[in-house]
Amino acid sequence: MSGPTLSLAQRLTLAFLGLVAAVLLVNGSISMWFAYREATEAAVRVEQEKADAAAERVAQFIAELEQQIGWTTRADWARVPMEQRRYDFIRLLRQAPAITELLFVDGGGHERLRLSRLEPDVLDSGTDLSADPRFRGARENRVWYGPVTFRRGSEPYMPVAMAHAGRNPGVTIADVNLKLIWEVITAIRVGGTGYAFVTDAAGRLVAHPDMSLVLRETDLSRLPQVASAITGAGERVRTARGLNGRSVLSAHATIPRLGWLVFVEQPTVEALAPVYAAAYQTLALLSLGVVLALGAGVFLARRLTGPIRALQAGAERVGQGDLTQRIDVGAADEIGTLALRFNEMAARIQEAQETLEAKVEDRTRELAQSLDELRAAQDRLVQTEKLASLGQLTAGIAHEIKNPLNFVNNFADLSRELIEELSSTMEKAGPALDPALRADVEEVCGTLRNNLDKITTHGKRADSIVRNMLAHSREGKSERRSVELNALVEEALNLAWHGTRAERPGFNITLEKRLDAGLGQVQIFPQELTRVLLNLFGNAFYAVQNKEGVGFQPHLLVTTEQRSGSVVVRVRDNGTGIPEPVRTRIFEPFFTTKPPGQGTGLGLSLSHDIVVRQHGGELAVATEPGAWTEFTITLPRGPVLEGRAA
Amino acid sequence: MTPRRTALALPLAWLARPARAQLRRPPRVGYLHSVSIGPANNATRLIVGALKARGLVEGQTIFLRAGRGEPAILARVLDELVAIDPDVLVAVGAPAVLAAAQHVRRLPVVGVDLETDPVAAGLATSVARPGGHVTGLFLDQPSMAAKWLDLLLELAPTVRHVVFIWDAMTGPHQLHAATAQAMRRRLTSDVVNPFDPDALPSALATRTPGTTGVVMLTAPGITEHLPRIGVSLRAARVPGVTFLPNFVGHGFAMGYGIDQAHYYARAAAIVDRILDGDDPGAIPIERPTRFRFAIDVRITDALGLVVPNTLLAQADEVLE
Repeated sequence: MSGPTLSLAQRLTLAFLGLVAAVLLVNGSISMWFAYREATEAAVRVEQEKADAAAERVAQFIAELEQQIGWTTRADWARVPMEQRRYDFIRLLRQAPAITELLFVDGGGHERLRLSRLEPDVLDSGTDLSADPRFRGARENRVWYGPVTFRRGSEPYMPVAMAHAGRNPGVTIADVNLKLIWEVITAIRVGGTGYAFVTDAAGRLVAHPDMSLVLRETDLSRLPQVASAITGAGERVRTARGLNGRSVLSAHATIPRLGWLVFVEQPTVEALAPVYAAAYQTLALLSLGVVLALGAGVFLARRLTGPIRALQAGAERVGQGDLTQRIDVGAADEIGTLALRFNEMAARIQEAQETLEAKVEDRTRELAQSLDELRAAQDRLVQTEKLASLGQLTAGIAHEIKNPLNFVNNFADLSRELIEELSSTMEKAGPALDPALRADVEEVCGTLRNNLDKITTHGKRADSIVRNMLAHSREGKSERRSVELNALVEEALNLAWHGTRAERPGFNITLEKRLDAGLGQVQIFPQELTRVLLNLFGNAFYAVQNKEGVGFQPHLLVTTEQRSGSVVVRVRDNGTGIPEPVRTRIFEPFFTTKPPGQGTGLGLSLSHDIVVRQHGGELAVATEPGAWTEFTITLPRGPVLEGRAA
Repeated sequence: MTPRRTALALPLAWLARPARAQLRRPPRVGYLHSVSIGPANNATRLIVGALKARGLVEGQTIFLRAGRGEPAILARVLDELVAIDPDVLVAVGAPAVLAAAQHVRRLPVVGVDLETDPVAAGLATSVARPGGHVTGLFLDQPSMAAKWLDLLLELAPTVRHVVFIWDAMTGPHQLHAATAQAMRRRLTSDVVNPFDPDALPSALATRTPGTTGVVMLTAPGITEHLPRIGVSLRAARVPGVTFLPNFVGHGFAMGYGIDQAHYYARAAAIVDRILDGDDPGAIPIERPTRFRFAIDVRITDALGLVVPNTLLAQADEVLE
């Protein structure tokens, strides 16, 4: 867990490397083991052969000596004259440089002849040697090899005694200087730096390339290889320490006749050179293999992790929101398929996101619309409440103004009657009255009449306004009942048309009616709704009247329409339309665009009151200034809420 | 494998070489001959030749001195050699060996001596392990003198008087053996100094030819005097035996002794080992293994002597 984290490429490389190295190692180890075994066995075989060959040569040296001494052991030698024997001995010494001294002992054990390289010859000394081991040995074994002795503790010598042929034979004894084996030993080549040496049966060195060791009477019986060779146990070839302490491959062979041991030793390094060569070769191959595996591992890991990195990078970019990111790994393998799937996934996410945006836009739009509608409704509600309160205020004011106004109107009427009474009284007085005075009174009376007419006229106007104002508080007075709405509309239209025609005889307009025959009975307050329709028609006629233009054809369209749960009445004219600043205020009380005296500004205000508050419906206006205006009355079909009706 | 190992070994050897060169000055060898270092001297020619073959250069790494047969001169030239501070001193001849052994302690001495018994003389504790600073080649075989006398008698059985040529500086052992053998053979004997030109002629002048013989005992530095001695022998028509086969040819009838070339080559080998750092006390004294016998038939013919087959059979070399 806490170890160093390795990249995928590194791990793959390591895995590959480990695998290849393991295979190579196993293979190398096995082949190395076999090569080692083979080479070791070969080296051992070679060493053994060398030891045998060396032993053979040493044995050959001895055998030659024996053969040469054999010249003097002929059966007739006992009978030849002494001079002849001496001559034979001289020849023997001449032939065999290793022999330092020669003795002839007769059958009785007496020394008859002694020749030496260093001493004067001794003839017929008669020395009794019958108990000498050399004499006895030769008599018993015919050929007797004595133990190795070191003359003056230095030079190795060995007596060789040989019995002559015939009965009661004499014996030839030769003292052999074993230093001469040195020439045999040094001639034996054992590899480059190997050597051979000879010990006697006790392990004392007899011959060695380094003569000094022999001359020092070196006892080698403590060397493990010599000790084991003496006991005859163990392998004939073994690794050991040479005299100089170096590791050697040591082989030995025995010379059975002498009991000597011939050793052949070669430095292990040299003997096993082929083994090391094989090992080096294997190691070199192993290294090469590992290097190649490293290269291949890196290459393969790169090849493998490259696409994965591309995938990773692509995924990161997609994760950061770049949905247009596509991955090209340029491979048709599993990773290629993965990349393909990834690309598809990214495409789908992108698509889903775009759809989502569209949906969010839709919803936002819808919400905005709802908000707009809510705001409109709120505005309407505020407007309605405002209008309602204004209406109540107006009604209140009207009620308060109505009585004083009645007083003004009534007393104006009364004053007119009193003027008339004054005039008739004046008439009765006739000439009694000064004519000038009469004229003055008449003039004043005329003025008073005029004034009273104006009071009456404007009083009536004020009265009319007050009545209209009072209409706001007259709700609930009439009765809701089922009425044929189409009929009500037609009646109101006729009434309005004729009313207007009465006021303006030249007025002309095309009236179009599209009345829904299936409308039937609707629960309404007929009187109030008629009032609304009259107001709307009146306004429409006024609008088309005010519009001028060549070929302008005034037109009024009245539509009724059955809807589920509601009925709709539309009144559309092609008049002047309503400018935007006006349109927002048209439902306010006392708002009018008509010249002063021609409208009270209460018509639409009242209509709105009736439709919305009394019927629980809606009164909407749509207009295009200079083109058309359409009022839409929507009335609920069902029973109106009690609260509203109240 | 070999090229690889060589490739590895060469730079290593190259690196090691200067270091060793700095560590050790070139080895120096002193060569002291009891009598002569002349070009005709056999021992000098053989031993110095073998050393030179090993890379030593006369006057630079090997220094030769001779004692001229005079103890005083010998002592002086020995001092000269010691002053040169050699790593090893080769001493040839009993006087030089004894002088070197006694005069300089610790300086390794390789003696070449055909006369002295090194153990008896106190030069070494044993042949196998000398134990001191002296080792080398020691013949140490006085019985050879008796052998030479017997050889003379075998060639010339009529001899009744023998003249021994003996260098007093070589010690008495050989002369003792020789005179004892002469007495055993019932001969009369004389002794003459080899370096005295008049001694031998005068010793032979009064003798009857045919009954007189000459035996030359070992004498270091005698090589240059051989012609003179040969002239004397021929003039007196006397058979002579000498101690080296290669001395035959100047007038001696026979020569029996060590194979000098074979034996003396060992001296250079021992010098090598000492220069390589071996303790001289651990290098065994070597004794000869090969002996040679030479006969000059021209001389025996001139003397009218018939060489018996027993002698011819022994001869390694017959000069005709």
